[in-house]
Parts: sequence; structure tokens; C-alpha cells
Amino acid sequence: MEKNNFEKIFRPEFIFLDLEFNNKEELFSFVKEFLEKKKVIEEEEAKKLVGLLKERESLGSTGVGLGIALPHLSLKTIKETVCLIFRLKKAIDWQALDQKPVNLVVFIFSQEREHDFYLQTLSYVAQILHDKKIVSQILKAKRREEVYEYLVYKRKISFFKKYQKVFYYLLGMILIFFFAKFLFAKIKLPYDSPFNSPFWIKKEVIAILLFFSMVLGTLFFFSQRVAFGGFALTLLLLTGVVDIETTIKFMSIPTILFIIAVMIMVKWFSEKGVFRYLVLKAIQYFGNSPLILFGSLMFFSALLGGLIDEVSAILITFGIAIQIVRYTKGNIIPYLIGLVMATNIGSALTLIGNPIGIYLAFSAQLTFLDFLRNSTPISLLSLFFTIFLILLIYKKNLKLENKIELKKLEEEIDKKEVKIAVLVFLVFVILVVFHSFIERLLKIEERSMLLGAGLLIVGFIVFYEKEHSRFFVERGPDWWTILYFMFLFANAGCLEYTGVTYKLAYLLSEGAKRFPFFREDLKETFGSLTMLLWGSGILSGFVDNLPIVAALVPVVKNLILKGIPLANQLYWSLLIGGCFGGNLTMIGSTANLVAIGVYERAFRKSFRFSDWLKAGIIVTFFTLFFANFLFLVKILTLK
Amino acid sequence: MNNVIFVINKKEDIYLGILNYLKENKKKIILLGFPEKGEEEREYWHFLFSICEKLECEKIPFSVGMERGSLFNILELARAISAELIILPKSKFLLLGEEYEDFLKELEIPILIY
Repeated sequence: MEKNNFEKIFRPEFIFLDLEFNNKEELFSFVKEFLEKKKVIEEEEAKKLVGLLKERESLGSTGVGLGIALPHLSLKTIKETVCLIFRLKKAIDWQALDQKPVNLVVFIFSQEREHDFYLQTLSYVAQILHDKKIVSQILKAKRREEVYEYLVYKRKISFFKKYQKVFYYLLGMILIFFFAKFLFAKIKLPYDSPFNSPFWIKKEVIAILLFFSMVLGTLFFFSQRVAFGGFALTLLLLTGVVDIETTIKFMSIPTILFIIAVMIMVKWFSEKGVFRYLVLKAIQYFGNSPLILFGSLMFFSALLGGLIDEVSAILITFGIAIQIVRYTKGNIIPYLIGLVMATNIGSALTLIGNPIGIYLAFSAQLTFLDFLRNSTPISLLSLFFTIFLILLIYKKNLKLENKIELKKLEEEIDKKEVKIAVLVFLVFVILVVFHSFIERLLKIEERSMLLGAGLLIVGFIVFYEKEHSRFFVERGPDWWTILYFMFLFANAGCLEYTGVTYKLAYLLSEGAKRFPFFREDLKETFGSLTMLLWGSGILSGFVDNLPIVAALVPVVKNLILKGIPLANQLYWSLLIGGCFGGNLTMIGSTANLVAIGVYERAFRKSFRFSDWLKAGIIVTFFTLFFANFLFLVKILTLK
Repeated sequence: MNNVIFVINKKEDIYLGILNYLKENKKKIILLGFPEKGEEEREYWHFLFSICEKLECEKIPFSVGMERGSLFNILELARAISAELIILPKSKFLLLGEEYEDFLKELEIPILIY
């Protein structure tokens, strides 16, 4: 079948852009009236049309996924096959397979006699509407003629639109090249540093270019991020910027091993129902009022975020929240935003809450107790502040119509298995908390016990689960992410190796000297801290926080070497900025995206960028400001 | 009514017997095309809609859809719609290769391979 044969079934006057209907029935009635008015079908059959469409939908939804529905009928009085296309202003529920609401509806009405052509039309339309690029152009089209041309392949997606992301990526790379080659390379360190020589400047330019090729690649082509990391690393090796030994060293194998161990553990604890059990218990104690329940759930989400990882924590607590809301007919949006924000803030509570915490621990030689002393108080106080802010924003939306009955949920948990898993979890937490004490006691290398704790528990899981343990080891870690982390650490390490971070540290300290601050001796410290906190915070709202932190850790190391007072506080500003900044936008952290995906599937509604932004800006601004204030108090107290 | 995911294979014609069985047991059928990498979708859609016609005539409840990628996507769909059975062509199941053990471990509902 030639594509041209379908031209006659589409007509620009049968395409409707941005009409608003509340439900399918309203749309069906509009279609009936339109076909009747245009005399496409006879009056007698038109009267039955709404009933026939409803009958077809009652057999099964004609929603084919990706926000598209294809209602179709064979009719007696229609003269030829016609398609009516509706781009809806407001998506409506269509009970589609992927549970997404529908915003593009294509009606296909065919003559009963044209059976073969009818089937071919259906498959043609289904196929073109499964092409995401065409659908995206149809959704953006300004005129109905444009939609028509896309449907009959008369209008090809323009070269620029087709490769829009590639152009942006290349443009970004060109700008970075000019920045690296003609601006950054001109920066000279004040002392007689080897990094001022042309030999190292050349390496610097390549390292900057390849690091940003990975960062921009992650930003524009997220699903291909591992490929970008691999390419960048290969080029670093082939251009002789680094050697294999240095690359492996920068990959930070202890960090990677620890992350793998935590992921295996989390999978095991989750399968055993440990987290579900803990959260359910909390709700039983605090669940008498909607406000206390919401606040306590946020608190536990943050706690889990700090003790496991943000993604697992949000999956557990948001899953519970969905069940609560379904049972009590409450509003899910405050739970979605509140729990995600609490989890992001909670992920800065401990060393193991966020990959950036683990990376900081191993690369900056920080212990679990260092985290407890430095990031936990700031994170905890900011958490209470966030709970207060969220309750203030959403207090009117937290009414519950039914009381919560959790017995059914609890019955699903195997308590014996939970007890064993809780015991193992406690052993892990104790070993992690006291790792530095044990290391000193046994006179072993720093962080040996930290890494050992993870590996010990993985060993136990493999021993306990016997042949079933392969499931946890193979399916627990997100191997894709692990590989990405290894490439990222190595790429970021090259910035340090080539002296880029020395120059960044120099620029930062020069900028900090101009920072308005009443204590001359702490001007540089507080200025650098504030710039790192807000810089990493705002950037983390749009880009993954790990590349930012991985690139800035060596900068902090250089500032410490430079001897600015209390410079080790800068590590904590990176951690807090990176974690809190994830709340700024709905794409700010993986936990946000995971929770929104769960919400869209569970409630058949879309979540827009703007839905998040109000609470995102308020919470991020106030928590960063609050954290900045706490850092100020801390610095003044310490010095 | 319980959902059954029926992954069709355009080269087989065994589906009629299976559909009759599902009809008798009053299941809602989710007819799914699952093209392999590089395979055209159009033929699958055509095949899906031609089966749809038969189901419509016999008033059997159904939905149609198309999945690509890994068979694990079908498991996710099964979870999302609380399906009680997955019917899968042998040829698709064999594609799993070494992954089949993981697939079976993640499988929480019965699977029928034809």
C-alpha cells in the first residue's frame, strides 16, 4: 500500500486543534454532530453513533498508549473512509493500556464493504502515531494543515527539528571548546605551577572538553549516558591525557564496591518487607490525624533516604502513600511532592543516603561520624523546616475521608523474615556508624571497615539465600548506573589530574575574597562556601548532582591545600547543595522522576513541570538559605 | 473481569484456539504486538486489528497495544494492570536467552507459552 493512498482519508477540515472536552462522551457527541452536519453519514446512523462508539469502548479501550486513542467503526451509510483527528487541550482518561491520559484522538470510520482498506488504514494510522517524533510535531503544530502534512508524510520533520538535540549538543561543545581554549587556558596560577605550561594547558583543554561531552551527553541523551562516558574516557586514553593506571585509580573502586553492596542489600531488605514494615509501624503510631500522618511519613521518608538510598526510599514510602490515599480518598499531590522533597533532604543525613555522600566519603577521606557531626544536624534541621513549609503550602489539601485500616497491608508481611532482615540491617548500621572507631581499634586502613561492612552483609545474603542469592546480586545493583559512575569518576578525576580544578579553586578563592562579609579572616571561607552551596544547589536542579560534585571535590581539596580557614566545611556545602538542589525542579533528582512515573501510572494523570515549580522554588530557596545560615553559625562558632 | 496479556505472533495461527479458551473463561484480553528490533510495526498492527474484528463480532472484551524492547516490559505491564496470565509465543520466549532465569524469577503470575 502506497502512502499516497491514505491522503484522501485525511482532510485538514477534519482536524481539530486544542478543543476541550471533559470526557469521552462529550467528544463522541461532538463527532456525531459534526458528521451529521457535514452529511458524511445519514441521520439514522448518526443517531446510533455515540452508542456504537461507547459499545466499542466498553469491549475494551481504544487507547493504544503514549496518550493516543484510535476509536474506529465500520458504518453502513458512510461513502468513503474518513479520519477525524482531535488534539485535545486537556488530556482525558481513556483507560489506556499504559494508563496515560489521552490527548490525541483519531477516529476512523469506514465503509463496511471496504474491509481490507479499513484494516490497512487502522494499521497505517497506528504505525505513524507510534512514531514519537511525528506525534511530538503534531502536538506542537500551529495549523491543522501542518498536522495533515505530517500524517500523509508530505511534511517531513525538518532536519533541524529531527536533530535538535544533536545541534544543541554540538553548540554546547563549541562554546565549551572556546571557553576552555581561549579563556580558561589563559588563567595562570600565581605560583610557579607546572599547570601553567603549554604541555598541561593542552591536556586541560582536552579534559574540560571531554568532561563536558559526558555532562551534556547525559543532559540531552540521558538513555545514552553510558555511551558518552565510554567515548570520553576512550578519547582521554587515546590522546594520552591519562594512562590506564591513573584512570583505574580515579574510578574510585572502593566507592563503586560500596554502592554495589548497598544496592544488593536494599534489594534484599526490600524483598523481605523490612522498609514496608517499618513505615507501616510508624503510621500506626502517628496516623490519627492527617497532618501528623503526613509529617511523620515525610520524616520516615527522609530517614529511609538517609539510611538506604533516595530511590528505594521514595518507592517504599510513596507506594504506602498511594495506598493510604486510595483508601482514604485524599489528595496524592502533597504526598508526592512532600515525600520526594523530604527524601532528597534526608539523603544528606548520612554517608550512605546519596551516591554523592559515598563519593565524598571515599574521595575526601570522611567518616560516618564526620557526616553525623556535620551534615546530619543541618539536614535534620532543614528537614523539620521543609516539613513545616510543605504543611503550610498544602494544609488545605490534606483532608482524609476514611480512617486508615492497615491490618490488611500488614498481613502481607512475613514477620519472621522481617526480623532476620532487621537484625542484619542493624548490624550493618552499627558497623557503618562505628567504622572509624573499629578501624582505629584494629589499626587498619581508614574506611576498610566501611567497605567491609557492605561486603560482609553481601556475603551473608549470598550464604543465607543460597541459590536464590543470584537474584539479589544480579538484579539488585543497577549495573547501568554503576558503569556510568565509573566512567564519570574517571572523567572527573582527569580534571584534577590535568590541573583544571587547581585553576577553578584559584578563581573561586579570588571571587570569595570580594565577598561582602563582616569577618575579614572568614571572608574567603564563607564566600567559597556560599558560592559552592548555591552553585551546586541550583545546577543540581537541572543536571545530575554527581557530575557537579565529582568535578568540585578536587576544587575543595585544592582550597584546603591553599590553607583557607575551615576549608573542610566546603565538602558539606557541596553535599547539602547537591541534595537540596534536587528539589528545585521535577527533573532535579532521580527520586523525583521515579515518583512522578509511579504517580502517572497509578492515577492516569500527567504531571507538568509547572505543577512542581511553586513548591520547588519555595522549598529549595528557603532550605538553601536556611542551610547557608546554619553554616554561618557553625563557622562563627568554630572560629 | 481478569486481564490476560496475549502477545501475538504474526506468523502463527494457533491464536484462534487460545481466544476461544479465553472467551469461555470470560477474560479481558490485552492483545499485544511485540516486534523485534528492526521489524516493521505495520504488519503487527494489521494482524492485531484483524484479530480485533473477530473479537468485536463475538463481543469479547479486549484492548490492543504495542510493546518494544525487553520482555521485562511485559512483566511491568502485567503488574500495572494486575494481569492474571501472560500468553507468549515460543519464539519470543526463546529470545530471552540467558535472561530467562531472571524472567522466571520476576514472574509473579502464570505464563503460557505457545
